[in-house]
Amino acid sequence: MTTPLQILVPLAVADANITASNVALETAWTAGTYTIGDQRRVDERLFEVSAASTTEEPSDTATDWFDAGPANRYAAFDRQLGIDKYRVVETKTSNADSITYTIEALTRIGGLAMFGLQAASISIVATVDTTGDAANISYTMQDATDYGGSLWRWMFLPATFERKYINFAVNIPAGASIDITITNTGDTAKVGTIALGIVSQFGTVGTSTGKKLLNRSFKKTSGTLTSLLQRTSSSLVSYNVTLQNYEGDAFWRLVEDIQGIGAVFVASDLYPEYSIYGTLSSANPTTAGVGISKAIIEAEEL
Amino acid sequence: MADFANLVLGVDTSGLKRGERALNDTTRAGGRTERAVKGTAQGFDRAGRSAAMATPKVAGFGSATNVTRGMAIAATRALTGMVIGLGAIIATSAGLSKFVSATVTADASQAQLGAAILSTGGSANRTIDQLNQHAAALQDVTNFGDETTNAMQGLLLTFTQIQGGTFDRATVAVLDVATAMGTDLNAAALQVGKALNDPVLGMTALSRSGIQFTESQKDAVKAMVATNDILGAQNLILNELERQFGGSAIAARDTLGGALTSLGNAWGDLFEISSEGSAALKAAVESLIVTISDPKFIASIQAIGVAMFGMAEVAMKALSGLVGVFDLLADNADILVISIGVLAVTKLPALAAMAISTTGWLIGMTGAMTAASVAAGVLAVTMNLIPFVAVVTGVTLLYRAYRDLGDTTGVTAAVTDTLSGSVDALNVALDTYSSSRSEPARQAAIDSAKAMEADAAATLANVSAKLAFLQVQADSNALFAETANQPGGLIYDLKLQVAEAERQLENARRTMQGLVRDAAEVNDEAGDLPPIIRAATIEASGLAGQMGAAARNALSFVQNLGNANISGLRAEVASLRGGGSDRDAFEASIRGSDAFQLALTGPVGLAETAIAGLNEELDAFDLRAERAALNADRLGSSVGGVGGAASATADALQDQISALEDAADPVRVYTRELAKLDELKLLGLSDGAYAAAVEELRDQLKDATPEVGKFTSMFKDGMGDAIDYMVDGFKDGFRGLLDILKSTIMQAIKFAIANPIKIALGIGGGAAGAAAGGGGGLLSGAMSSLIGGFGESAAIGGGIGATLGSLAGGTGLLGGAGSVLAGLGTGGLSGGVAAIGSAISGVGAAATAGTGMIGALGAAAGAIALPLLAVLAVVSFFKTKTKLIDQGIRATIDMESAMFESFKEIEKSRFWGLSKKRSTSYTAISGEDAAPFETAVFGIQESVIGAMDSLGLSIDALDGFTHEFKVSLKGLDDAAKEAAVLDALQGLGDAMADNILGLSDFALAGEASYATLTRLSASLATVNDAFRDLGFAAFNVSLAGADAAAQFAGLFGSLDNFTASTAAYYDQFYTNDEKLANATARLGENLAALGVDFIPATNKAFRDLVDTAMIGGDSDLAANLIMLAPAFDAVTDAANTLSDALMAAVNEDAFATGVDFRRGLSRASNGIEYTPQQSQAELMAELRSQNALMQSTLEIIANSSTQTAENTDYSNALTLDALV
Repeated sequence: MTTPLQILVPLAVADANITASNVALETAWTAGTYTIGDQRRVDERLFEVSAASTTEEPSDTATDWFDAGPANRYAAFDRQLGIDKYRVVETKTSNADSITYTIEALTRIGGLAMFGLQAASISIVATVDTTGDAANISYTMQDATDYGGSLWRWMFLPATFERKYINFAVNIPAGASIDITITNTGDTAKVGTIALGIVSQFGTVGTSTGKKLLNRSFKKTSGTLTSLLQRTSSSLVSYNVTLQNYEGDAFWRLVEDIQGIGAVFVASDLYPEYSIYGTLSSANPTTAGVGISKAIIEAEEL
Repeated sequence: MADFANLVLGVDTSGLKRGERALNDTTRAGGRTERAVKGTAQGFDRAGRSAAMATPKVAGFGSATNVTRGMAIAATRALTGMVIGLGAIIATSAGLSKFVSATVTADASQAQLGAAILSTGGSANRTIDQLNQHAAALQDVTNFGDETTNAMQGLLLTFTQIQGGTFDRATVAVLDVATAMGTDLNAAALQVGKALNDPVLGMTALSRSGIQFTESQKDAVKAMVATNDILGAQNLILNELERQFGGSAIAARDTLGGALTSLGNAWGDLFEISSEGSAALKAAVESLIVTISDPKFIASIQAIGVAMFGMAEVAMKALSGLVGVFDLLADNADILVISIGVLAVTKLPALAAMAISTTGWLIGMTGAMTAASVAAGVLAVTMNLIPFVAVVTGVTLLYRAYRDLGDTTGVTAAVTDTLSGSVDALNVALDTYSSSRSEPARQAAIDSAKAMEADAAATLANVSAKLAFLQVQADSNALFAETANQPGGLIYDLKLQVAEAERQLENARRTMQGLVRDAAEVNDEAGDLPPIIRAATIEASGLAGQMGAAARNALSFVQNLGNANISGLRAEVASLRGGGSDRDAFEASIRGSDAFQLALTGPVGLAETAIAGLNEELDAFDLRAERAALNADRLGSSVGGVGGAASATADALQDQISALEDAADPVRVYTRELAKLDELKLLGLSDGAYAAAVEELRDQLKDATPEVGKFTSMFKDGMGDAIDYMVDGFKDGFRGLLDILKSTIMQAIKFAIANPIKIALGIGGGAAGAAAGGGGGLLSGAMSSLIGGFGESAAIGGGIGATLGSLAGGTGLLGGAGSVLAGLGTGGLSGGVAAIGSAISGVGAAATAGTGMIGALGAAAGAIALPLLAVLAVVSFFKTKTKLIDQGIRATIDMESAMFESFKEIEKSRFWGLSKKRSTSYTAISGEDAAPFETAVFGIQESVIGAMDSLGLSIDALDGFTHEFKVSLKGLDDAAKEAAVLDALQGLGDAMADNILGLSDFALAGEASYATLTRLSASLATVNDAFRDLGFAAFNVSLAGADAAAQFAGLFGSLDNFTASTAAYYDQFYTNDEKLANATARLGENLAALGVDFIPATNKAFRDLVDTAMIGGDSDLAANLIMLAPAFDAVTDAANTLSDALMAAVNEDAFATGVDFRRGLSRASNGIEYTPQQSQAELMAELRSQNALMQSTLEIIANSSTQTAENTDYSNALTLDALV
């Protein structure tokens, strides 16, 4: 594994950037009386009434509403920013048959990644002057059915498809119009995260790079009943990176920049399991020789 | 495919023949053991020698294989041939081994089958032959060899319930299941065997394995098992298995892989010798065992072993190399043709040379290898194939290198282009920075340099990698070496690119260092700048101030000078210079002086001296006048200059002021400019131009609005502060009034409102609450107080009733009355009135405190008794010192008014007592003096009306009511007077109550009407109020309902006991949120009564409410709200406690998702409980436990109804299983 560690910091994609989409918006909040359980949208977020009845305006500080997560259209671009979102991170944008976005007014994009996909194919068309002149990518999701060591198993199991797509070889200029289409005809198309941004790369990823599961579910016993409280697990990837001296400071700047936000970490195409959308958990470069530092960088998958 | 199979079979047949021959030979040798031993030993000796001879040559071959990597690959082919040669050497042994292995396997499976049949007593009704035939038949149509099937059959035989035809079906089913489920045969046999051996349990096991059965199937199987129809159950299961998996094994066979497997099975069978056939071999082997114990034999074997291991090592390496070659060929089969074509066109000469070279080398190697080993006789043939393989391999490698080179070169070029672009971008950024030297431009340049650095690094990495790759190619291949270091050669170009990338990388770093240095310098300078700037600013500020002051001073100076000084000076100069009058006067004064005259008239010379002195003085005078004129001129000039400068400065300042005012007041600018436009319009400005200019002005005004907003905001803030200040002052003043108000009515209303709410909350409930409520029934007292406190007078009668009751009992009141009366006696009227006044207050307080039971508490009764004592005190007003026959009070009362009169009956006797005359006179008591009577009478009237209202009775019954009483007080002591007055008032209450139709029906024995009325009223109010909190249905508001309430309360012994018991019950057995809800409802009603239609959410909101009322001047509302504060505080405290408890109950572990958790938290903060939906697992666990309970219950029912448990209905259980 001699490839560099590549990190994509997603650009913020807000309502103003999405000029068109086939994902319907939830009903926006207007002044009035709402009862418990009612949900209304304010900008990119959904709020739910938690009082018996209220005329309060929903906000982060409202007492009668709580933030129930991103609206469907914006779930794919939810960067999990903010204070203590109580693990509302399993959000996905979904729509029947396909999901389309037209995104504009972003800065230059050197890489894009999608996670949590449920699609048969995806398409990214970036346009500056003529359609697709900046990027024109079509990709058919590959069959990723679990082989499990048995040909029969593979043959008899229904086909499943890849759940992520990473392409760090694009160069879409600032201000380009980007059309994203996620197709799953006849079924529901879903995408958990769409990350667009600049790719930074550092050092070389060495062996001993590893990944471990962080289980969140737990066994619960109440009286004579025992059950498993299921929660989505995550994983922790440790990248073993060798940094040259001239990369050290730049690397650390990026570390500071991506703290507390989701970013895409890619080690090598040869080891797809280490390419994740996660948040930086730790980074500890230590000197290893003249002009060389070794760093263990840990990222927790979101 | 057929050809391939035939080919393999043909080869195998020959092997078989060789094997048979070898066996025959061995059999024959077995008959001649000793000779065979010798022969074998000699044979191995020879073999050992041959091997020893071959070893060094093989080693030489090994070293030769290291000549080149490509050649080594080719050499492996030779070793393949060598292996084949070795195979030929030991063909007999190998063939024998195969036969032996296959036969041993077959024997083992047969032995297992036989053992299974014996141990199960032949329960399956199948013989070994039958099983073998079936296994053989299955081998023909499936991928499972007969030995494998035999082994599985052995396992299946252990399930003794599987018999006959079912056994055969089960055998096939096992093969199908194993194939379809991807499990091994034994596991499938265990599953199917268990299912057929015990269908009911087995089906469950199959379900867990993913083999599903419908409910009806499960029911059917249970039914069959219950009737001992095991075969039927087995058939059902087999049918289902065949339906789901039938044909899987055969289908698997019907593929290429299956065919190959089948071929392998058949191939294995070829080597299975019948037991008769193997008997001779067995004998020979037995003799061989003896033979191999011979030391010579062992030595021979070891010798040949060394040689074989040496060869085998080489062979293994060769084989591993071959694997790679074959992989390579297989992977690139599709491109070989293309690559050869391409190379033929492009690099044919070099390729041909290399091929020829390779071929020549290989030929040489062939010769060497030919002599290498005796066993390598076949090597030459093998080597004939090697050139082709080597050429193909070489071509493939070359093509791949060529292709990769093209790809990476393209990437490198793209990367280099990117670098070129970033260099350009950096140059542009540096130009910008060098021209502007601004910080943003520097940052942009740094960013650009970083980008260039990254691009340069990427280029360097890419090109370096490519260079390394090419260098390897150049080192190993002349094709690349030729052009490696020549201009135009790939490596040459790449090296140039590397150099360029390194150079640009260095440039980028230096640029960034320079920029950083620039930044450092700027920072240093900037570090020095602030003090300078600050000093300059201060200086400038001071200067500006000084200039301003100077300008103002100058202006003032100029004005003053202009107005006064200069003109004054000029006037003085003029006077000095002018008509000379002053000078003349001066001269005349000198001349007229005595000294001058003396000098003139004195000796000669003296006059001249005097005149000379006069002239000198006059000259000096003139000189001063000249100087004064000169100075005046100079001053005038200076003043003019200063004035001009000051004027200019003042104008400039005025301009600045105007500009600032313009900025501060855009409306002024707008107005002014608009006026100008208007002027221009009058002068002929077109409408369009005018409109455009006005629009522009509006835009400017709009842009300037924030400034206006700031001013407005400042003004508002200022005004707000002022208002706050005023309000604070008002509040302070009002607090004094409020304190007074609070002191007068706080006790009553606070008690009235807070108490039921506190009770509703369970705070201070129980007996203590009952006592606090005045002893007249906890809740009813509170309720009536509550209503009374807000002027609705619903149950005032309770209070009066208690009062009368207490007075009737005469407990502890006479002393008080006596003292009051005594006060009257000594202090006179005013003291008595004062006492009455305070007593009246007591009446009000007692009335609002409210009690429900006659004779309940002395304290409450005492409080209410005071006004009545005061009434008695007034009676003393009528004492007279004259002799009275009688005197007292007469009252005439109706529902509108009451008239009180004093009366006296006087007996007049005439002297000697001969005549007596009695007369009675009535005198109206003044309003002031009658007030206590009126209060008492109206109190009783209101109590009756209130009681009737609380019982739902119409007061129409009192229409036209009139009553008169006359109380005679003469000769009575104080107690008797008191009793007389109270009797009269009691009579009033009874007279009013007598008008209520049907009241007498509910009277207790000996109970007066008024007592009945107040008893019923208090009971109904108390019980219904308690019921409200307890959530019970209230008694009807009627006499009958009140009677029922009274009887219910009577079950507790008394209304007091009822109140205490229900309060304790409520306190202990009702939840906090129930209490909170009740208290909140009461608070809401109280607030609603004040016109506040909501309950403030927080203490702050409550305070805002009070503040708003105060500011709005609604002091009544404010006061009432403040009096509600304790109740509100109690409610909010309870609400907070409840909310805290709810919040504490929201445990993250109870929620499966973040949204659920947030929902729980948010709702808890609003006092709403949220229980997340149970997880599927929890539900299922619960269902299972319920299911077990149900089954148990069903079995008990079945047993008790003489049915067997097996016959009970399992459908529910199965339903649940299906859910799982």
